[in-house]
Amino acid sequence: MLEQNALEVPPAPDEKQVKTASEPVRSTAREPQQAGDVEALYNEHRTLLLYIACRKFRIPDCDSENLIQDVFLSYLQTGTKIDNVRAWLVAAMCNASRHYWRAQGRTESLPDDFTDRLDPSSQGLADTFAMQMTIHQALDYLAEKCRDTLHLHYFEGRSAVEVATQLETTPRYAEKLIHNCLQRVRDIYIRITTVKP
Amino acid sequence: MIAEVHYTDDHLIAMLEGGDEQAIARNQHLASCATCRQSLDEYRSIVRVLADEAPWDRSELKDEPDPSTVATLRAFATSMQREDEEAETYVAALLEGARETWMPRLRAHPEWRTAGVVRRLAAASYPALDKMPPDAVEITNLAIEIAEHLVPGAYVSDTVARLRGAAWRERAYALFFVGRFHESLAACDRADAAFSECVVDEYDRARVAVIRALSLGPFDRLAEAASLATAAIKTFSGYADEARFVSASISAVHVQFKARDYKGALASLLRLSDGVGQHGDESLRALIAANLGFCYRELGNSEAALAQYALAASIHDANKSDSESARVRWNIAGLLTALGRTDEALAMFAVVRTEFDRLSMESEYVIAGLEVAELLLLQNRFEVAESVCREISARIEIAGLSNTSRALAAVGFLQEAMRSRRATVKLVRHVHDYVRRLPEEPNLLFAPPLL
Repeated sequence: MLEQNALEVPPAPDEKQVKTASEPVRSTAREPQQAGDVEALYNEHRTLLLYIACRKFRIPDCDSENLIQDVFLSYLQTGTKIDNVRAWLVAAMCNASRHYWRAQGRTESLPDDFTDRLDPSSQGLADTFAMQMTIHQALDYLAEKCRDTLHLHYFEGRSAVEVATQLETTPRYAEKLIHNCLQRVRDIYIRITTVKP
Repeated sequence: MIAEVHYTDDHLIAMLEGGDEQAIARNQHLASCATCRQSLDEYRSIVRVLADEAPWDRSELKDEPDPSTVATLRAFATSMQREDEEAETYVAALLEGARETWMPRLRAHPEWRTAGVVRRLAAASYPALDKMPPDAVEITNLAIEIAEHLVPGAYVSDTVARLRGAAWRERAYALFFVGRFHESLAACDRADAAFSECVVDEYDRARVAVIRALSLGPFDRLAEAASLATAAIKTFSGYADEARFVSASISAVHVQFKARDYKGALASLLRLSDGVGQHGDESLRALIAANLGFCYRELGNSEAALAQYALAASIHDANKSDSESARVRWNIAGLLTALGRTDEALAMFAVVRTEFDRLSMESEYVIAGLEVAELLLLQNRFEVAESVCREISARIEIAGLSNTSRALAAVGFLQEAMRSRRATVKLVRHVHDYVRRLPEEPNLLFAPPLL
């Protein structure tokens, strides 16, 4: 009888269920940060955030610093526990940088690849930027010829033959150079990132 | 002893240079050698970075921390801490006694109108949802009243806009929780408008999007809800916020529920369950379990559904989330009803209604009461069913629910049908559906079905 009636009058949508599956905003409210904690966080993450703003989003230094301040102020006011502070700050820095260019867009032209920056893949963003920063540092340790070779091949997209022409050498040697320089960058990268006991 | 053989760096680089990813994927040694795979991945990542403009920029970055930023952040943190400490006392005094007294008390104390009080009230609304949902709604009302009257110039940066956004978002959630979906959506609009004034807005707006997606569900606006949920999932993934990633994923699952794609929903939920694991956040596990319960129910696996509901209820009990426990047990009662286990269902309804009564969850109390009336009717216990209807009418009158007169007319009609033994399951469900829809459709007229 119950099922027959159920056909006549469809059961109401299960609102009870909708309500149970709610946003788990019941996460512990975060206690306010102490001034010292905030300063320590700023000191720890500032370089990475500055790198993102200046290098990735090409925002001028002075404006970048203001954006970093805004990111930390937002972080302080989030009000809920944040497990991965670095990831949160990095994602927020990207958000602030995009906001910056949107605001600037009213008065001046945007960089050519602005649209690329509007939607960076968010997954592992913090790690990606940290790696970029480390590679940037690793390139400083390379000999100029090595750096030029990698730039020609991996950034400008020139073939080994074209690199050979540019460096006035044989394609075979250019290929060898590309391999050796890439190995060298990786060695330096590993040395920088290895935590010493 | 056979020495382990690996690819040389030259080999690995040559593979990458070759650019044949399919050949790499087919390579048997790489498939079985973690060392070579890791080296290849590192080279791949480095090559990807070298193709980007950023690492080639040789201009100097200012390496030293900026003293003025440090000073601003320290001053803000200190003042926020002081404000929050003061607010604790204010909020305790403000929320004394019945909720009807709170707003007049706030109006008598202008010194309580601080950012700290807004933050404390927002934080207080969640526990209140567990204990006394109408209180939570009023708490968010107080938070908005204060936030909307703060002077932006008195605080640094976009503090006031952020506070307003947060207050409206908490209100949207509380309204969703009590089933006032239209109002919840309107509050989402206000929250979004406030957050859009902030430099960093996407995280907060993603939280609003989840609530909006949930509140759109009852209106069957599935495409919108799905799109909002998907965008929120992406945002929370970027911010590495597991709890909210799960919550946004659940709101996407709800869209699958609405589209009756229960198999797809089950797969999504099981993936989430694996991701959260046994050691994950308890409230997340309860959330997933409750939804798994619903999904299994719809797929006809009643035993698995009951087990998941029981798990969810026990976690909520342990967390002292009384209203959530009651809601989950309401689902158990509904499932027992569907299974024809009427006596067990009635016993569970009794527990649930006692809880709804204690928690002042009036509308849930009334709806669950009509479900009890249906069960009693199935047992031909007309007199008891009639007395339940009478009790429901009395409750509607006392609680002053929205559209009291219309709800009373419908329940009165049912009561009379019970008395004259003309009531049918069809009629009970008709009244049940009508009363449930009234808060969202206040102009809905009650038209009795043909008996």
